Amino acid sequence: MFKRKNWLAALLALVMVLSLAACGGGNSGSGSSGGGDAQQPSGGDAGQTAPTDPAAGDLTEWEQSSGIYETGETDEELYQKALEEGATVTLYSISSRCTKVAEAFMEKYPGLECVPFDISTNDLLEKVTREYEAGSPTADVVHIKDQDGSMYLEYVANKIFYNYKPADIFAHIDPLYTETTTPLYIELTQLFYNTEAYPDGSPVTNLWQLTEPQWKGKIMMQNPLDNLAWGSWITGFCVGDEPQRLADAYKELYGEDLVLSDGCENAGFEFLKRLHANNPIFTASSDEIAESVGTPGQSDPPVGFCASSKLRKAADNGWVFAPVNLVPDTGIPAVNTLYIVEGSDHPSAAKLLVRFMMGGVDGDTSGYAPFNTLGGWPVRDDLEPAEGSTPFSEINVAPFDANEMYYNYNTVRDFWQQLG
Amino acid sequence: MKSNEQNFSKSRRLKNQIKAVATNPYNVIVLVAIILLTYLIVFPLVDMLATTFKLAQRDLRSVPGGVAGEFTFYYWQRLLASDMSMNLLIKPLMNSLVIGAGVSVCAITLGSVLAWLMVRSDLPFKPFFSLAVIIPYMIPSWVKSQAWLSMFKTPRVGGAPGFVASIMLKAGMSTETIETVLAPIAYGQIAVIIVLTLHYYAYTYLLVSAALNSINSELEEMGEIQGASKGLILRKITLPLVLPAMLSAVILTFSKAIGTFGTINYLGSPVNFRTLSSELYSNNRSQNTQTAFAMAILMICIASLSVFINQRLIGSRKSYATIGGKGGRSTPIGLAGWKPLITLILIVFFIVGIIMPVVILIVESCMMTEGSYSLSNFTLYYWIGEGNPNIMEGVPGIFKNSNFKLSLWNSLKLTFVNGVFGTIFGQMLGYICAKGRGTFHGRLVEQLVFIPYLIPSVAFGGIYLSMFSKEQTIFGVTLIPALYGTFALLTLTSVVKHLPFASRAGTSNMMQISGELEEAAAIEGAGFFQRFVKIVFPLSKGGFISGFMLIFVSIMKELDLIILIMTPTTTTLPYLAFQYQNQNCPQASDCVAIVMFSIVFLVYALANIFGDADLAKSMAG
Repeated sequence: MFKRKNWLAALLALVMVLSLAACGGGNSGSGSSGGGDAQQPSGGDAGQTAPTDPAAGDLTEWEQSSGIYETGETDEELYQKALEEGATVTLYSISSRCTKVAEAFMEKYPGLECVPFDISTNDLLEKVTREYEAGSPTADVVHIKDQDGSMYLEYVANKIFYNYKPADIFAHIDPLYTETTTPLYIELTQLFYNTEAYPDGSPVTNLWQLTEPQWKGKIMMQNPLDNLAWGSWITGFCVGDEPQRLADAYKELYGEDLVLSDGCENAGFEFLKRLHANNPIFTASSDEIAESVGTPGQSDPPVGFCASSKLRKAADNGWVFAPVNLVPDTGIPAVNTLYIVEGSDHPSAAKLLVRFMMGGVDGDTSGYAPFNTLGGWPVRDDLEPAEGSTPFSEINVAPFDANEMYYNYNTVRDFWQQLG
Repeated sequence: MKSNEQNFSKSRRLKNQIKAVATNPYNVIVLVAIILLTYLIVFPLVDMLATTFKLAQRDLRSVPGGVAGEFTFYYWQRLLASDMSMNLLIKPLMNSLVIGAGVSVCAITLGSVLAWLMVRSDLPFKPFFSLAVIIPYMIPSWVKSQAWLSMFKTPRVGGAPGFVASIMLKAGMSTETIETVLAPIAYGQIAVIIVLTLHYYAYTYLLVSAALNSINSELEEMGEIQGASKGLILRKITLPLVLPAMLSAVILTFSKAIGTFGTINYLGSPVNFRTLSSELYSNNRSQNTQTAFAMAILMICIASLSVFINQRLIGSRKSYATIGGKGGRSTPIGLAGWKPLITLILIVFFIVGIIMPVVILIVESCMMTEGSYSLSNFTLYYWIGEGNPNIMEGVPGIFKNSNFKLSLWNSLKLTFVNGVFGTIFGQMLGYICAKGRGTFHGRLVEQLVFIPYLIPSVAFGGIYLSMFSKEQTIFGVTLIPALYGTFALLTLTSVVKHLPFASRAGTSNMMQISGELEEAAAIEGAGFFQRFVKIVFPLSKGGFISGFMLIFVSIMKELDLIILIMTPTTTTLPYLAFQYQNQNCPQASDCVAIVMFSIVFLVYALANIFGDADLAKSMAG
């Protein structure tokens, strides 16, 4: 009869016991179960070392056979090797434009096949990690964004992803971007205002104005808790030089020093606290924000933060909005990055595809062209941004440091969650 | 002497009993089912549970001195007993329970009333109504959420104000007044409950109408002869008979309502209304997999509790068998003077709640630019356009998209194969749950089957991907070859994920089939399989069809689960819709949604027509 003990009761009991044990574990002060408010370790002593190109003797089998650290090959050499390899390269991408890239690639390199797969960030990481762990890697090249530094400090550091660094192309990119990534292009999160309602320019030019009462309940954004991109964006305000820049901007606007409230370590946290207190309206998608701000015929439209890429939808939808070049800046950039997956059976084709997407060196930029649209900026100094773009150098952008971002991300996200 | 004899007979009796148990196909099936379910459901669940106790590399930054992969209470402590708990768990959980309870009450009421009207009353235009009544479930919930917003959106959130707000503006009301009046309806709790009710009443409708269909109206007529009023008959005869179906629907609705995300995201976000499911999705998409899994496990516990309560409620009552050996007959009950009023209410309900969203969807798919309602803006480009580089970045219309045919074929194959397999397994499991009601194995199966329902698709798909990417061996013998990239794995994953639908439909249906029918056949010498094929299966056709429709529709809409299991070359219609949405072509995405909707509707219509015909025939004998 003891068998009749209900299965559910057992499960519930288990969970309860475990959760009780969890509380106990924390109270007894054992070091391994820190609370949610644990101090983050500083970047240096976390045991993470950035991979550098090792000497030939230390290479893994795949590193050797793929020649992933070989950066001097020409397109023609790679093309020949790719044809010998088996000729198919699979691209997992967070952008729907990967389909066009694949078509252009196959046209330029007959005999090679490129299989594009357009997939959301979350599904992409889950799929690629699971495939990799199960020993059946499918993707050769991954196009994603490194927003919180985790691509570098988790995937690259653990040798799941590799940064392929073609020397001839990298010569045209600011080393600031190539330190931790193989960058493809830059997107931004910008503040947009309605140009019809405010014909004389943006009503907001300094970030701190958004914490003033007249903007209460009139700022659109996505909930930073909702995804990695927005979580990273708020983290960017709290790390590195950015808090100082924010404090300076405060002084510039109001002529007095910023006073930090309880629990706010620096100006970044203070800004987030005041922004949250101003009841921003969260939406389910970036599109909604663009629509809310940009719809013509409004008497008192809100302002809103959304992806710069919405600029290219403006004409189609008849939106009347423009981005603001905020003081001190618009937050961190979202750098689109490319990786080659460890164990790829087609490393040469993968390298060729990476080079092709980055714009190549022979003047044919058909691999980069699909990404060269309004609201996206090339990282290469020899590629022109799309017609009508504000030059990237003129836009105020926060500095991005993969280490700083990575080690503070949890703290800042938890801070926002506790605001309610 | 006497005691010896007794001993002899006792041991023989035991031997016979063991023999009977071991050779009874029912027991064998139960055993196989439990082993399979343990492997396919408990294993992933344990995997999830284990994950929540393993420190992830990405959380080393929050746990000083931690080692990746080591055992930790960090996640559970953070969730249950830290200063984060209030905002991370308790408040969202309360909201979830309110939504779950609210939607259950409304959806069960609405669904049951509609089912009774369609099946038992003499309502006019029944064929039309009974087809239309299922449409809301086929319309994606985001379409309904958008329809709701385009009705009630307030000026504060910018963009074009909703229909009601613009009327109020024209009437000269100030934006503050509009905000005060409209905001509570437009966003948050009430909005979510209403929209979800319009989505999930279909569960109740499908299950309860199948149950009502199988009730012999003589039962009710008997009451009438005895002088019972209509209300009394409804309360004392009809209601108890369909109670198992209603309770099944409660479980499905409640669990789905606390597990849903899309609608809450749309209608809750503007007022920061968050539920456990929104926290789960947020954490998942912020790569906090462990926290998300822990939340999923809590939701599974809550749902298990509802299954448990349901078992208690049904277990404490007598049999509900209504499909007996006698012929069934169904005489509609007159609505008398209420008929015109009810018909009118239904017509209005269908126009507002069902036809409007569909029309909005169709109109939007034919608009060159969104939101501009004029004839010059009308276009069929998104249906049949050739790929004009000036429109939406040169993406061709869906019928010119080379992937469309492939996706359509894949979707059809997937939904039909999985629908059929899923329903068959579901019915068998339902049979076990119903016949084993009150026993340990019955309850075990009922609980097990329910778990996949609440495991988030992305987690479930991910775990299956890992499990079946390698050969599954036991003692060196390969049981299952590596399945990754095969259609078999896709089928397996989808079938298991959607088992709860089919088995719930199966359980409530099987409970109505009287055991004496099988016993009679057994006396005549019919074996177990013969009884199942010749008696149980034909009698359960109604439930079979309900189960099939539930699975069919939800697999047709499934994206996350499938995208993880599929290889890049195999795409389905929801994937195509996702791609169009990504390419900033919401109109083309609407087109795909309409195609999906049309397929489902067609299948439902066919099932309705042929299913009914068959059912009637089999009942006549």
